[in-house]
Amino acid sequence: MGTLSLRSFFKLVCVLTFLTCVFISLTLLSSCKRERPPWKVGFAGTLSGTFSELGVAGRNGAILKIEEVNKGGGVKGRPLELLIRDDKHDPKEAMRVDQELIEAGVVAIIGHMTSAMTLSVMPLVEEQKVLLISPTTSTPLLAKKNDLFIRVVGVSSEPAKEIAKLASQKGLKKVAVLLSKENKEYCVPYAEAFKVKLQEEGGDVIWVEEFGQEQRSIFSFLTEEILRKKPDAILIVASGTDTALLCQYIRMSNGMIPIFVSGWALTQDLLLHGGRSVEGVWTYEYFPFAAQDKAIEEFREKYKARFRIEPSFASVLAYDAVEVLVRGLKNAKEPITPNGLKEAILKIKRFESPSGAFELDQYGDAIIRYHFVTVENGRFVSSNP
Amino acid sequence: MKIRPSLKWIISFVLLVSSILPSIVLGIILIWVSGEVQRDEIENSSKVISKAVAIHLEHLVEHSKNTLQIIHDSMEYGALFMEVVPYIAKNTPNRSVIKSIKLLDQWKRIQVIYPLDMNKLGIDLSGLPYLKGLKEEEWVFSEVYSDPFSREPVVSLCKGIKRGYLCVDMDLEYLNRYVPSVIRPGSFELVLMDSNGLPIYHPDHRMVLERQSLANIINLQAPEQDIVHAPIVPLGEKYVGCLSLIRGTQWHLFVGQAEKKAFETMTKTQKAMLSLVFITALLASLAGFLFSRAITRPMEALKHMAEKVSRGDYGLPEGSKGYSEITEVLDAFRSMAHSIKEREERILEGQRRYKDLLENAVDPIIITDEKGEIVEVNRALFERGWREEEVIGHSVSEIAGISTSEFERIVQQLKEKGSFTFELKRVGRRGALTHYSVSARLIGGLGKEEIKIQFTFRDITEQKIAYDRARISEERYKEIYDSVQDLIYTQDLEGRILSANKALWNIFGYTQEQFVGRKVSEFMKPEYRQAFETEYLAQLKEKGFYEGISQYYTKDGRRIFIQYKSVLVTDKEGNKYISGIGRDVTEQFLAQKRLQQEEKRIRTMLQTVNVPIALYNQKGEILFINQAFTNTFGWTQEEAMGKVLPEMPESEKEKNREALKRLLRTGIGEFLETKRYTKSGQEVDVITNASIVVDPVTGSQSTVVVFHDITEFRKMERSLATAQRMEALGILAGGIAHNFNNLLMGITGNIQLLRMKLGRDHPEFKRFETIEKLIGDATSLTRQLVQFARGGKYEPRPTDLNRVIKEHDKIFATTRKEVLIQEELQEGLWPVECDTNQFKQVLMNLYINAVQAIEERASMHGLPQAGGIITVRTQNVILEALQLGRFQKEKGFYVKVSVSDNGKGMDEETKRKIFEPFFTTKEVGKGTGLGLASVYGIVKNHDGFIDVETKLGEGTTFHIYLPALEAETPKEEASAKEEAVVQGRGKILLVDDEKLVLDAAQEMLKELGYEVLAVDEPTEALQLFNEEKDNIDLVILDMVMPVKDGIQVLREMRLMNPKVKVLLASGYGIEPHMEELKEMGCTGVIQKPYKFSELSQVVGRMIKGLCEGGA
Repeated sequence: MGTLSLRSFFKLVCVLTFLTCVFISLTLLSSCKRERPPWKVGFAGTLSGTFSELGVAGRNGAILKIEEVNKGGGVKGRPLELLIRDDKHDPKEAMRVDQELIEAGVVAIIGHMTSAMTLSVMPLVEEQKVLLISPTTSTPLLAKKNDLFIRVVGVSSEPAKEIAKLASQKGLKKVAVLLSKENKEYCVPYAEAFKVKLQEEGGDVIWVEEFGQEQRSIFSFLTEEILRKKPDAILIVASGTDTALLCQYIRMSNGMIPIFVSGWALTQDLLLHGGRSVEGVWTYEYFPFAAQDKAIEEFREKYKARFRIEPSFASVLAYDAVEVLVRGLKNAKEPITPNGLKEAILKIKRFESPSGAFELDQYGDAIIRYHFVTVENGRFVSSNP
Repeated sequence: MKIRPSLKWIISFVLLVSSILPSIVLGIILIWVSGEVQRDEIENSSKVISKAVAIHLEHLVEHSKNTLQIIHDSMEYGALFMEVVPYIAKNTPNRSVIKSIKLLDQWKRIQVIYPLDMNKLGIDLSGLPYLKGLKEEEWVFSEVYSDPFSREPVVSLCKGIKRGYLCVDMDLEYLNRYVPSVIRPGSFELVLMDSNGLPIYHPDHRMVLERQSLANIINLQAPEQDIVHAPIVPLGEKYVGCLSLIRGTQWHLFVGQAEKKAFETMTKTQKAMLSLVFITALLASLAGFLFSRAITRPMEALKHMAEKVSRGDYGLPEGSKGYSEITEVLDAFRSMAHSIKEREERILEGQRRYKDLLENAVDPIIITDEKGEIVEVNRALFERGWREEEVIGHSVSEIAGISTSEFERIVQQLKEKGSFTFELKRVGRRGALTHYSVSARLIGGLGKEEIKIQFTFRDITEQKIAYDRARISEERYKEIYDSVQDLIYTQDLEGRILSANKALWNIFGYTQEQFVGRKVSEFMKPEYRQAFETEYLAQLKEKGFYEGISQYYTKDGRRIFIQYKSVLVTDKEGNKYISGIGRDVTEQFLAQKRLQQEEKRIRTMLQTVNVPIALYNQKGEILFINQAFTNTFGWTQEEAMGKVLPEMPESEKEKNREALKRLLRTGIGEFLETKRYTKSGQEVDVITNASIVVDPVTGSQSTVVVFHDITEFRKMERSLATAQRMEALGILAGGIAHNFNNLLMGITGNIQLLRMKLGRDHPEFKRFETIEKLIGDATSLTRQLVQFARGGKYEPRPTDLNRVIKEHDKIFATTRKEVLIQEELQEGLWPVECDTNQFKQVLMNLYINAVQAIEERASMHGLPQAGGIITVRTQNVILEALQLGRFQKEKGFYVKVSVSDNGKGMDEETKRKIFEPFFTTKEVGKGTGLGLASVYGIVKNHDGFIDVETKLGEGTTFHIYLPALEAETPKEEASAKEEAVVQGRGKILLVDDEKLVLDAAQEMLKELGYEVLAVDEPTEALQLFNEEKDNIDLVILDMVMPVKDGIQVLREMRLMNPKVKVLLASGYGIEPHMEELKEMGCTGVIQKPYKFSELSQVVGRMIKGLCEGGA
C-alpha cells in the first residue's frame, strides 16, 4: 500500500466501485434466476363421473408421492411436475388427454385407472412412444406383452379363480354374475376366469347379467330377476359404487345370500354407499387391508394429513406407480426415452411399497400376492376366509 | 501497536458508504415497503370480499336449515312428509340449492325422498360418515361426496330428529353458479371448500367434479383462526389470499389473487429501483474519480514542501494551487515553517543562558550521561579543589560517592518524577564530613537528544548540626513530659487536644496520633457533650479556669473518672489555648459511689421492713425511724427526729431502764416484752430488741431498737382461750339439754294425752294449759342451750340477710317503740346460707341485749329511755387471713352484720365472759344468761364468728360474720308448716332408750291410728326389725342411745332392708350426720321434743313415701 500513490489509489478505488456496482446490479437483476426444468409426469384417469373412484384416489396417491420426491430434492436435482388429466372414462377423451400429455413432454404417464381406458389408449402409446405405468389396470388382456406398458398390480384373473375356489369350498355351486359392461376389458375376463375355475370345482355360473348406464335406474329389477334364478351366491364385477347399490338391492330382496365382489369394488365408495349391505362380502385382491400392517397405517396417516380423507387401495398403487417411475428415472440414461426408461425400470428387481414389496416381470407386470378381503364393521379386513 | 486506518481507506469507505450503499439500502427498503403495502392491500381486500361472500353463503345455509326445521316442525304437528315437503321446498328462498330432501329412519335408510325416486327408497346410508353419531336436534354438514346415483359431487345437510334424520342434498352446480353471481371479485378468485378441502365452489368447475383436494390450503393454518394469508397452489399457480370459515358450516372460503398479478406493480418498481441503483453507482464512480484528482494533486505539492522543510529549507515558494482549502493548508505550512525557524533560534538562546547559569552557580553542578559518566561540571566544583581531568569522563560514583546501583535508581526515579532532592553525607577532599542537599534533574531527551542528569550539590552541614541539637533537646523535654504520671494536656479553644502526655493517651487506650487532634467531648457520653461546650469551654473563656471531675470512656469501652484543672493560657504571640493537668480518680470515685449506694440500699431495706425500727443517739433521741415505725406508732421521721419516742407507760419504765443498762454493760441485746404508747395514746404490746452500733469513723455509739408489735397476737391468744372455754361449755350444755329435753318430752307427752282424755270441760284443764306453757318455756330454754352447743341448723337456705333484718326489725319496732332502730343495709348484699328463724333469734337476742344496755345506761344517768338507738349495718367484706387469725377462719368473702347500741357498754371482764352460758349481769329473774350464748352457738353453727367492740359508758357493737354464698337468694321463703294433726295407718317400730319418751310417743302414734312396736333397747329393736322387716312401714329411732346410737342402728336396718323408712328423733343436733343420712336414702328427722301435730304430719308423709329432712 505504501508504494501506491494516492492518485493511483483513487483511480483504483473508482474502478473497483464501478465494478462493484455492476456486480450488485447484475446480481439483483438475476435474482429471479431460472431453475432447472422439472420432469413432467402425466397422470390420466377417470376423475369425474361414474368411475371416478379409482381416478380420484389414484391421483391423490400420485400427488402425495410427487410431493415427497420434490421435498427430497427431486430426481437428479430436477423436481417432478404432475400434469393431471381426466379421461372421463371415454376412450376418445382418453386418447385426447394422452396426446395432450405427450405433447406437453411428459416422461411417462401414470394411468389409466381402468382396464377399458388403458386398452383404448394402448395404440396411441405405442405409436407416440410414451411409457404408460398403470396403478390399477389388471386385465389379463395386457399380460405378457412386450409393450410400453407397466403395471404395479397383478392380473385380475388370478383373484377371480381364487374366489371360485372359495365359492366351491363353501358349497356355493350355483353362482349368478352381475358385471359392468362399461369396463368389459376387466369384467369379462374376470367373470370368465371365475366361471372356468368354478366349473373346474364342480359348480357353475347359472346366470350372467351385464349392465350399463341405462340399467342403473332398474338395479332393483335386475337384482330381483337374478335372485329369481335362485343362485347359491352372486358375484358382482363392477365399480365400488355400482357394487354398493347392487348389494343394497340384493339385501333388500334376499338378505342372506352370499355375495362375492371384484377387486375393482374395493374403494371407499363401496363402504360409503353400501352401508350394512356390504358387510360380509368376499373377494380376493392384490392388496392387504390388514389394519395392523404398520406400513399401510403410516401411509394412511400421511395421506389423511395431506387430503383429510381415507385412502383406498388405488391411492397406494398410484403411489407405487410414481415410485416405479422415479426409480426408473434415477437409473435411466439421459436423454430419457420410453424404452430406455422401461428398460431401466425392469432392471430394478424389487420395489418397496406401503402394501409390501413387489417385483416386475420381464413384461412389466407386477408379481404380487393377493389376499382374501371382506368387510367387517364398515372396514375392509384381510384375513383367512 | 495500534493500527490506524489510512486516509486512503477512510476516503474509499466514505465514498462507498455515502454514494453506493445509500442507494442500495434505499432501493431495498422501497422494494420491501412496496411489497408490504401490496400484501396488506391484498389481505384487506381479501378480507372484505371474504366477508361479503361469507354473509351470502351463511344466508344460503340458513335457508336450507330453516327449510329442514319447518319440515321437522310440521311433522311434529302430524303432517306427512310428502304433504309438506313439496310446498315448503317450493317456497323456500334459494330453493334451487336444494337438490333433494330425504327422511331417513333410525337405521339411516331412506324412508321418503323428495322429489320422489323409487330407486332410492330403502337405501341404507349408514356408511356415510357424517351420519355416524348424529344425535337428535344436532345439525351436520357432510363432506363433498359422490352421489351414488348421479355420480356427481354433493353436500348434504342433516338434522337428527326423533327416530330418524332429515337430510337436504345441496346442488353444487347451483352453488357454482350462485357464488360468482353474488360478487364480482375482480382480479380475486374465490374457492369454497368443505372441511376436508374438497371444493364445493371453484372458478374451474372441473376441480369440483374431479374432487381435487385443496386440503393443502386448510393445512396451512388451523381453520378456527379466521383469517390467514399465505402463498398457495390451488389454481395451478401461486396465489396469495385469506382463508375464512363460514359460520354454521365447516366450510372454508379462500379469497386470493394470483401472485404474479398481485405483485406485478411491485416487480416493476423493483426493476426501476435496480436501474436507479445502477445509475447512481455509475455516477458515484465518476464523481469519485474527479474528486480523487482534485484532492491528490495539491496533496502531492504539499508533500514536496514538507520534504523541503524537513531538510531545513524554510524558503517556501509563494502562490496558491488548487482550491481555497488547499491554499489555506499551504499558508498554514508556510506559517509552520516560519514558527519552526523562530523556535530553533529561541532554543539556541536558551542553551546559551543555561551555560552561563551553570558556570556562575555557587553550588557545584555535575552533569552526567545516562550511564553516570560525567560530561560537564561548573566552575564551583573546580573552586572546591577538583581539576577538569579528574572529573570529566569519570564516573559520578568516584566524584560524588553515588554508587552505580544508587545512580540507576535515581535515573529511574527521575524518569518518573523529572526531578527530586535527596541528602548525601560525604567526607570531602579536605577530610571533613560534609552534608549535601543534592538536587537531581533530568535534562535533554528531546527528540534524538540524549538524556542527561544534572546534580546540584549544596553544603548543608551547618544547618544539619543545628537541627540535631534542637531535636535532642526536644526529645529530652518530651521524655520528661511523658514520664509524668499526672495527665498533662493542652487544648485549643474548641476543646480539641493539641498535646497530651503519654499518661493521658495511655489511659484512654489510644496512640498519641489517634488521640491528639480529637475533642475531649468525643470520649464523653453523648448527653454530656453539650455541657462540655456550654460549661467547660464557656467558663474557661469567661473566667480563665475550670476544675472538676468528668466521666469518660476509653477506647475499650471502660468508664473512667478524671479530676482535672484547666487554665486559659496566652502565648508570646498572643494565641490563646487551654493548658491543664488531671488525675485518674476512677477508683476513689467509684468507691464513694458504691458507699452511697450501699447506704441507700440499707435505708430502703429498713424502710421496707415491716417491723418498726428506730435508731437512737446516746441521749436516747431518735436519729432514724422506718416506715413500719410510723405505721405502728404514728410519728413520721420529721416528727420523731431528736425526740425520745415512743413513750411508755409509767409501769414499764423501770423494766426498760434495767434492760438498757444491761445492754450498755454487756453490749448484748435481749428481747423484752413491754408496752408503748402510739401517737394517738393507744397502748401497744411490743417485744423490743436493742443493739449497740458504733460508727467506725467517729467512734460514736448509737442504739438500734426493733419493736415487734404483738398486740394482735395477744388478742388472738385471749380469743382462743375464750373459744376453748366456750367449746367445753357447749359440750356440757348439750348434754344437759339432751337429758332435759327427754324429761320434757315425757312430761309433754303425758300432759297432752291427759288433756285429750279429760277434755276441755274438765275443771283442771286450765292447769294443764299452764303446765304446758311452762314446759314450753322450758323447751325454749333448752332450745337456746342446744343452739349454744351447736344446737341445730335445721333449715339452712341461701338467704338475703337484709330481707331477714327488715322483717325482724319491723316486728321488733312495734314491740319496743322507745328505741330507734337505724338500718344501714348495703345494697347487693351477698347471700349467705342461713336458717332464717335462727338468724332472727340471733337478732332478737342481740336487740334485747342492746335494749337492756340502753335501759341500764338510762337508769344509771337518770335519762329517759327514749333516745336509745340500735343501729344495724350490713356489709360485704373480704377478710384476710391475718384479720381472721384469732377466729381460726379461712380468708374469703363474708357478710358482716353489725348491731350497735348506745347503751352502757362493758368492761373487759364482762366482755370476755359475755358469750358464756348462764353468764348474766342482770338481776336474778331478768335474764337466763343464755341469750348471747345461743347467739354465739348459732353463729358458730353457721360457720361464722362473732366479735364484740365495747367501751364502757359509750355502747357496744356486735359484729357477726357469715360466709357469703355465690348463689342467688331465693325470693320467697318456704311456706309455714301446717299445724293440723294428720291421722294415718301402718306399722311403726318406735325405738327410744328413754322409757318416758317411748311411752309418750307410743301413745301419740296409737292415737294417730298407727300400730306401734315400741322397744327401748337397740339390739332388741334390730332383732324385732329383722322379724318384722317386711311388715314395718316406718321406724322411729332415737339418735342418742347407749350401746348403739341411732345412726348405727339405722345402718344395720338398711342392711336388712335397704328400702326401710326411718325417722330419726333427736333432742340434740344431728347436723354432723346430715351428709351421711342423705346418702342412706329415705330418712326423716324430727327435733325432740316434738309436737303432736308435727309428729302426725312427718309420720304421715313418710309412710306415704315422701322423704323428710332432705334425705
